[in-house]
Amino acid sequence: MSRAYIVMLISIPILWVGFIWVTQFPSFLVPPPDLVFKVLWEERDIFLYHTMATLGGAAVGYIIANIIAIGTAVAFLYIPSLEGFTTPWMVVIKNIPFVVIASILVIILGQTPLPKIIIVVLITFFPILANVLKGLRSVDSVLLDRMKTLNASKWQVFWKIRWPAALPYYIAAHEIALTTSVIGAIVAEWLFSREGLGFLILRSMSQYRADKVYAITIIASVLAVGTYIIIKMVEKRIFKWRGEVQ
Amino acid sequence: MTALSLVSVSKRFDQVVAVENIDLEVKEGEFVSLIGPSGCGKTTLLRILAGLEKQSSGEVKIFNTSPLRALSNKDIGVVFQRPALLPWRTALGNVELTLEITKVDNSFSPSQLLTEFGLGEFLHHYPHQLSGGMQQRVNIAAAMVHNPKVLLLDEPFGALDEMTREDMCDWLSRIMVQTPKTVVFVTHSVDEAVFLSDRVIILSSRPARIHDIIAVPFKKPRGRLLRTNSQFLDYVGTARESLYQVIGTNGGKPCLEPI
Repeated sequence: MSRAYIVMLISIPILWVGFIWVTQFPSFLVPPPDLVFKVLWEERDIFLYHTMATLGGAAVGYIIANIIAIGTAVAFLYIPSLEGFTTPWMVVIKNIPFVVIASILVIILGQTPLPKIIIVVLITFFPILANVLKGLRSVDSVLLDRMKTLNASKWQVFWKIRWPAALPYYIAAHEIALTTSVIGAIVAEWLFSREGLGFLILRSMSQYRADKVYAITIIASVLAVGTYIIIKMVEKRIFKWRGEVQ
Repeated sequence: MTALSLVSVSKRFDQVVAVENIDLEVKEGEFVSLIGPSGCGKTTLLRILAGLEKQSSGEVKIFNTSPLRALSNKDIGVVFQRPALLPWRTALGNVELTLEITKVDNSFSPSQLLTEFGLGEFLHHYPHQLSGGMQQRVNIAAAMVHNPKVLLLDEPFGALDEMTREDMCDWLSRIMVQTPKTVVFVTHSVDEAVFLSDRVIILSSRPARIHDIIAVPFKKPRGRLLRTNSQFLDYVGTARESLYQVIGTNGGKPCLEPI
């Protein structure tokens, strides 16, 4: 896997320079790598500030989404009728374009970090809920029978059987949702914020600073790959028994 | 002392009668096999004893209390057909799980039990790293590590090949002499039933009724050579004949004369 990443790291600048060489785009439309890295270095304080603003919003939203999603999954597991009752609500909320929800939130909440956080919660909540619920229900019935014959309490069944069984599904949810949380924060900022990478994209575009837009692209890519690799490492560590299958 | 008693026990699922009018008493320390055609309701009967199903009528007592009470007294160990092992726990961890949940005092030591079961070198292996026979041994260890008075086994060797099956039978016979328990053993192998049991109970098909009971008086533990003993083979023959009365002879005539 690591070799594939090295190939990508080497290929990107080559393809980038090659593209400019073939199309002959001027540097204010497609800036060459050296120009982008120059602005990235020179304005590192500004980039760092806005990156932290984005990550902060994403992290807070993501943590809230996790808490609510796990709570909901557990509630659905033990009160099945609840799931049927809330499904129509979920379908509606999930399918309203979140740009609309964002606009409504901005009207109500104004220029606070809250709309951004709520957007992140909304787009990361559903994949986590779906995966955790599936994981909690994935337990082999023979294990539940065994627990019954040992007179295990619900609490014991949950912590010793259901939750460990759901963990692989939960980690898989992070693979999708954690990177999505960063995208959600950026798009939310793009729509209405005064700080964060999304805001920076909008400002750079209006100033025709393609070099800055490219710099933000690089930052966003590093964030995405970084979170992905971290999750993969956590996965490997937690599921030693799984790795040994191969 | 009577360990298990069933008095006119029946079980219906909707319209289907799975078990009908079973009367049975099992003495403490006795090894009893239930054998019958597949789908005849023997697993249902075992699940009633294990407290996993409730009988529709009749009375089930385990050491003079209901199965559910016996479960909460940690008096029952159940070995399921498929190994009920957590894939993320080692062999030892899976056996320890039983103790984490039951928290009994007079239990066996998990590592010692697994070592006695011939798995001393595999304590820290995960289930998927073990063969089918080994998994089933871990499964049995996990079902009896808390030292229950009653052990219920549901076709534990059904998925194993013939050689492993014989090994496991010999082994189980020895284990049950070392740590005597009242055992109900569901199987569809006549040899297995006769080899292991004090009494073989032949069930008729759908609904399950007691068709015949055959007592097997050999002393235990029984070595594998017993399988070549002509008296043993007589018992197997008798049991098989009785089973054929239930499932039919498939039109064949008895072939008593050599060709």
